Amino acid sequence: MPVESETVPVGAPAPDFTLESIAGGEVTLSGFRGKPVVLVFLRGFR
Amino acid sequence: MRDGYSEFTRRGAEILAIAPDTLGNAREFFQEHDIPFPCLPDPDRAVFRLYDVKSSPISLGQRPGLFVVDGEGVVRSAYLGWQQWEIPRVEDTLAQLDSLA
Repeated sequence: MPVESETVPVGAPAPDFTLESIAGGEVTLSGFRGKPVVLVFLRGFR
Repeated sequence: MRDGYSEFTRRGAEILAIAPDTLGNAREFFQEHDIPFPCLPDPDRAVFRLYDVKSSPISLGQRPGLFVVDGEGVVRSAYLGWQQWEIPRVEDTLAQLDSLA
């Protein structure tokens, strides 16, 4: 069964982060303030 | 999710894919499969840990996770699967975005 994240429950502020994009440049979650963001955590590519 | 991307952008939403892999591998995969949304490689899995998206022996490695964050930066949906196929359907995630609007 799917479960909820223990550290990031619904209603909590989303922890901010900055990562490098494959398109080049850095992307920061809080930079999207004002629009909804869907974060998809992938399992990997193989 | 790739085919539904325009449905997300039409709703003013962005998809960020976070990958537990290197920039080179992620770039190769996304280009090969022509995936239109941004991919952010996280080779150290720092953001995976931040969001409690752990790896687990019973899912044979990394678990999938999907979070919906609203325009104020608040988590509206937090989902961790145990298996790769246990991610919410595109329709369900779109419905969730509609409910935020």
